[in-house]
Amino acid sequence: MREEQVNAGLRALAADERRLEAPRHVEETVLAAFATRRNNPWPRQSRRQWLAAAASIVIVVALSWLLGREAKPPAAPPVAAGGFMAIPYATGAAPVGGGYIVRVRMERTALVSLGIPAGAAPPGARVQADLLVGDDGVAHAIRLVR
Amino acid sequence: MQSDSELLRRMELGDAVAFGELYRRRQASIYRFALHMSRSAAVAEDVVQETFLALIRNGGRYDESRGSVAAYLAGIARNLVLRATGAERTGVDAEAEAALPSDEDVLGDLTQREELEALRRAVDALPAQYREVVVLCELEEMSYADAAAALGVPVGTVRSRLNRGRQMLAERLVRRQSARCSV
Repeated sequence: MREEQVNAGLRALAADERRLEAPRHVEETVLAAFATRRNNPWPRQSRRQWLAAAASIVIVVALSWLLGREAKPPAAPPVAAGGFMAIPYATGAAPVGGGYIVRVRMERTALVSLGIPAGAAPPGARVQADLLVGDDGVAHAIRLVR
Repeated sequence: MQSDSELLRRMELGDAVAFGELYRRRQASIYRFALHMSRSAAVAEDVVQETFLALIRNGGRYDESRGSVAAYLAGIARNLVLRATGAERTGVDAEAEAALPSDEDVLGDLTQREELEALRRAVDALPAQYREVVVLCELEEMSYADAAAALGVPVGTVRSRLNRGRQMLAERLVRRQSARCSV
């Protein structure tokens, strides 16, 4: 009996609540968001960008490791633009058009191989830097983050 | 009528009509679930909106083998409710218990509007882990398998929580009847 009453009550409540729904403006918002998403499929673009950024970071780290083994003294600082310093190996590449910034942490000694003065630092010391990655997926410039 | 899965596939191809159809088909259920779980119309609105925005972003991740689209959406909505209301409340909800009217107001002649409201409050006063299965399985008529997928628990857990939830409602009914008889 008790169970029947609970069941009947829940059925009645379910029927009563059928009238409840999200306000109309919510539908308008999500439909507009869908239209925007359809016109600008950012997730796929973002995935490509991240792949390019990852490839760029691998190149920077590999180059810095290879060049760092020669322990060359730093040359004169490269041209600075908007706080960024051009990465020597990238100067021959296509110019940056648009692009995006990727923040990385790297060994301070790796900066030397990129032509950036690293100053005195204990072995293994790491710094934070912003890489300016072009639409071509290549890191063109670097900026140290204080 | 096309299945939810088919609408989702079309939606992923950029079909706005399919997305609109899926929204209109599922929004009310998500809204009511969020309303019961949060006890806030504002939160429920936000949850519906964020659930479908998440579907726009991540609809491609839906895996049909793991449950229905309804269950997938309910799972997203549940996470959003938990985020909106703070930590997961799995114990007895003291605040809701305190807000609940005395037992004599709960259940009874369900043809009466006020009694229906009392039952609604009784459901909302259930601890969250029982309330969510009662809302999904009893009020939204979701299958146990889908509810299990939405909540991320085994089907057996859904069954046991549902039994316990109904038991708790029934206990209130008995207390209510006792109170009536003693008047």
